[in-house]
Amino acid sequence: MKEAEFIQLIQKHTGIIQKIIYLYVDDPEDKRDLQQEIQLQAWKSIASFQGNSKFSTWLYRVSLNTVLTFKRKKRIETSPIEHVDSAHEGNEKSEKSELLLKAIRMLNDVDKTIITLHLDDYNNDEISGILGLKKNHVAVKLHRIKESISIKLRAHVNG
Amino acid sequence: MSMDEIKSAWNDLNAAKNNFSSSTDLEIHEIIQAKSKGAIQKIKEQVYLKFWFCVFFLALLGIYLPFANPFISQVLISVMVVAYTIGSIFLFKEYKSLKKTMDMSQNLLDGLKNYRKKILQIIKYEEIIALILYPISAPAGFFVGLKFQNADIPILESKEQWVALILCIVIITPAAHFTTKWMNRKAFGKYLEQIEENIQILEKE
Repeated sequence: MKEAEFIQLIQKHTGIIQKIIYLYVDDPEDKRDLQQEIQLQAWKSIASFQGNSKFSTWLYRVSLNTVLTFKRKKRIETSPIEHVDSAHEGNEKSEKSELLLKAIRMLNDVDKTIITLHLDDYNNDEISGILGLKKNHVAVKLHRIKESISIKLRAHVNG
Repeated sequence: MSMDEIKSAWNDLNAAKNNFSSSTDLEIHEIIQAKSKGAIQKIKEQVYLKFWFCVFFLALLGIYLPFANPFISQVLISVMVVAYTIGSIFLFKEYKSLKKTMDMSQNLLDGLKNYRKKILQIIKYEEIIALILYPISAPAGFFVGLKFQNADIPILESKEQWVALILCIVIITPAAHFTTKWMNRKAFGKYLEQIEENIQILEKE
């Protein structure tokens, strides 16, 4: 693949990179470094992209491998949800979204990956391919994660 | 919040966050030409420096060897040359292994396992180098230093000097080994734990 074509694809799918960084990293320096690192690793691994799968799926793999092997200065803390962004107060829909995001950010790295892929409409087959897990293993984990998110959200609402 | 609500909230969130400003052509061009900021690249740079440090001392010792006097100094320097040669070979092997590009598009479980394997291999190399290089070069260097200071000092001709040399090796060998282990634990401990933890979660049924 030529560089110009690669750049276009990266620009088109920048949302994947940004979303992963947002979910996994807190430190501003880590965020900047990781964005660059994912793009660099994607370029270095581009020969492995044969076009058999979607570019977005391939980029997800590269981004996840990069973020989970990156020496992060600080991991996102898994403390209970205390508050949501005040900027969205009064807007119930935004508040729900922010709450959800906080609940997902609080999950461990692997669970976060599974639920993010699921919410981004990847089926269990695709998720198992990206993570290297058995399909039924994904289904079991997904069920537990959904429960865990619901509990966290309920605890916030009630508490 | 039901799963449908979660899904709907996620879509709202995506819509809100889809205004990401993407990097420009030039920025991406520069990024893909730049050096990696990953852990392996950082280790690679350190190993590269250590390798040239070793080669530099090897050359220096090689030049000095024919002129060393008395014979025992030549023996000591020869031992150092051997140690530095072995050390250089291990550092070069370590560097070569680090230079191999890792396929970051493999599945996450394999990716994490391969990354962990690579880091553990580096740690193993570092420990071998510490066991070979430092215990030999430290006491040998000590005696060569003595010769530099005063060429007339007889080397290893007294029982005390032999005892000092053996004690030096006996103390430095485990000290070098445990110091390297400690330094590796400090440098990679938490990082490896983080990778290990994710592997375990992925493997847990």
